[in-house]
Amino acid sequence: MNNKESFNKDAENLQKGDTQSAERIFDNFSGPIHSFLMARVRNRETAQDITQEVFLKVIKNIDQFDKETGNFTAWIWQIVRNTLVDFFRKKRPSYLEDLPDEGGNIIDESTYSDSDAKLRDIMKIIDTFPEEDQELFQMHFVADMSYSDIAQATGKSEPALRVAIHRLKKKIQPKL
Amino acid sequence: MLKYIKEQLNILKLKKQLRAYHKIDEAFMRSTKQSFMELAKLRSSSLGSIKTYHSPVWKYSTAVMVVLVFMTSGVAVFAEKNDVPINNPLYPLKRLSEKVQLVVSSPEKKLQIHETLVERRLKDIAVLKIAEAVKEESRQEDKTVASAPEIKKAEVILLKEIIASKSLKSPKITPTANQKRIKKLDSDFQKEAQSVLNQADKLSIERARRVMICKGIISNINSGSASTSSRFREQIKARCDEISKDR
Repeated sequence: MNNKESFNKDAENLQKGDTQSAERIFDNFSGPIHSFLMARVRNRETAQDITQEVFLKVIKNIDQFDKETGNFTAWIWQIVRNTLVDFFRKKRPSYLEDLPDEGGNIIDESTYSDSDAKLRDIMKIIDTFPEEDQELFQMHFVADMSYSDIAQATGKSEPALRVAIHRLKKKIQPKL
Repeated sequence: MLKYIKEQLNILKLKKQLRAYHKIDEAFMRSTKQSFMELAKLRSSSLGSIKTYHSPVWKYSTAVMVVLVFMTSGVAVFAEKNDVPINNPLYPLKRLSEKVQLVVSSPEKKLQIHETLVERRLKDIAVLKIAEAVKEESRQEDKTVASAPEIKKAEVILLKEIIASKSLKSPKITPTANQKRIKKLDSDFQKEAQSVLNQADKLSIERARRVMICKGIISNINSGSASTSSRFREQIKARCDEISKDR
């Protein structure tokens, strides 16, 4: 049973009320999703709120997942994206005011170092990327997702993703 | 080559820095997991009743069951009201309906039902005896045809077929099974007759009516449909005598 089938099975069991499947789903997806959200919103509290909202939606909407036609990894990441879109639509103006230094909320300013400054430069470059590339970068570099998982989450082929990520690497290489 | 290795190392370093930069708060993850698991458990505990209620399989099977119960009870009432004969496929439903009636009726009504059932069992026995006689006749004809030397073999087969088709129209009961059923019906008749008298005693109805009931049963026994034992006849007769003498 591959990852896709395994998570589809867990989702099916969760639909039937199996709590062990719920635990497996949380353990597998919570880390990458939370990291991805932190990278996207650059605010720890906001990322935590959205993470909680995502998992609440998973429980609320699990009956809508069709294991025959769907892919649970793609389904849960679609929830993440939709929740993020809702967040940006509602909160963007105040969110930008709250974060003038982009990411200052995530790390302690007293511990800033040269490498942090370098990192922020790289993140500024990332911000200039198209939305799709930013998402790809955060999934691969921050959430540490495999090509296979990203392919399932985004619905793209693995070879196409490898090429896209290689291009991203080339773009940030001068800053490294 | 060296440049490539250097690039890869830089990428790894960047990944490490990014992960450290976006370090996950373990306490938050624990509490989120706890909330998520509580929701899952809540869902799991409430799921049993909701699922059962909404399950299409359950809904359809319930609907089918309800329809079947209605149809069966409807057909049973029809069979009972029309007093279908013993060779009718609906006969078992008629018997079932009779039993249900006995359970749900008042004591007064029960007496009437037992009286009706006595007559019905006698009728059933009579039908079976006729069927048995027809069968016997067919067997006799068969023997006669087979033994006639002047009739050709083909004609014998043809006649056999005609007799067989005739016997198909009569109840599809083998002689042995038929006899067994007559015996069973006779036993049922005896039980019903006893029940009538017991019910009459229980209700303490007036003597004149009890005498009438007794005469009716004896008349039924004497009609010859039932092959009741002489011991049973004597029992009923003695009981009826007691009722007659009772003042």
